[in-house]
Amino acid sequence: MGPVEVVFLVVIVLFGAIGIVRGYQRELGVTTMLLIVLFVLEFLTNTSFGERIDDLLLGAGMTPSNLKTMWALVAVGAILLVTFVSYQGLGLVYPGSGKNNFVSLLVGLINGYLFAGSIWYYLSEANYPFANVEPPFSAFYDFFVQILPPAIFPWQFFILLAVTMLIIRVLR
Amino acid sequence: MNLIIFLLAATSIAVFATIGYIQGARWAFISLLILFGTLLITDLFEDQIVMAMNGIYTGIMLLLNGGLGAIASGDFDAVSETISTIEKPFEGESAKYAILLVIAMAVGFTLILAAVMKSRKGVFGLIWGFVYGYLLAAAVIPLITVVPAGTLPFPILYPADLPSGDVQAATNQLWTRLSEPQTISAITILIGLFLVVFLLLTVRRGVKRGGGKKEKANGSS
Repeated sequence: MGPVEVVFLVVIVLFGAIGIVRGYQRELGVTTMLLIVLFVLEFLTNTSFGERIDDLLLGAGMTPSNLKTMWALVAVGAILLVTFVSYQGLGLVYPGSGKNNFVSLLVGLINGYLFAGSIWYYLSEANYPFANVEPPFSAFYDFFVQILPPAIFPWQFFILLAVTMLIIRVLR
Repeated sequence: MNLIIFLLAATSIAVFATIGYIQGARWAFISLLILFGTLLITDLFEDQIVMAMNGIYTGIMLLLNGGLGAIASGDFDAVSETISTIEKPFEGESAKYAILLVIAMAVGFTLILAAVMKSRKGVFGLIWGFVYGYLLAAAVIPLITVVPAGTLPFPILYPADLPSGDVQAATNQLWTRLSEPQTISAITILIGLFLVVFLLLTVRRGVKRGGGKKEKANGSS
């Protein structure tokens, strides 16, 4: 296993530990925000709207590799910003009493998967700009990079899940 | 025993022993029974399970290809023609993925059960979780590698004879085998289902508990 996947897996585990400390009620708020930002990013990059932006930028003289790098930076910046605000600012907190370490751990790991997995995906799509990460990669890397959130879910999945979570939160 | 097999088994045992300790003996024991029952059934009725999974897939594909209309209109020739064009997903070498899917569903169910069931932390939870992890590793490792069943002995299900072949080379193919398109599709569906069911159940449970507490507080004031 090479260093790239180790870095992202460590981040996922760290999110699991953070989940236990903060509790699942707070972590679910971060999950919702991550789902929403992933919806926005997927909508921008994988629909006709995104294609129009691509055409516009390519027409303005941007090279395809620069375009990929630009999208990767935008995506990573957006994910980092939303995650930072969700953890540090006034976050969405779901109702629930008591502490359940296991559920908190699982929700934390899901957040880690959404956060680190998405950053990993966008960076790998742009061939890791500004970093010295080059193939050949391990078989584990080749497997895991195929099951990262933006690689396997369409934008509809993210928004439907986020909206359903919010509806269930409101309905009593 | 190859290092990768050892690591996989150790990880599985460690993870489920920890979960068992956190969730308590009741969850761990019920989950162990569910997993054991699933493994026993998959071992005894392997052919029937593969047939059933193929049948379910064929049925779904038949419906998606307009088979319902053909059945309703009594055109059974068209139905049999459509069925003959549908390729069975679990045949030959890939038949074991049907068993893997059933085991994965059982594990997913026990993990979802953990979200709704909790008992006192204790050493018995740890022990049952330990056994669960070992049993899971013993059953799954032969399915995702070409290592024969029995590498991790579990005499009730498999004979405890160790393989003598090229275990090392076989286990190195683990991730490559998991990267096959049909496996990725199955994993995608499982991740999606797990995310939806687990997150929505957790939110619903939290809302119910939080709401109940609030109502009690309002009633007492």
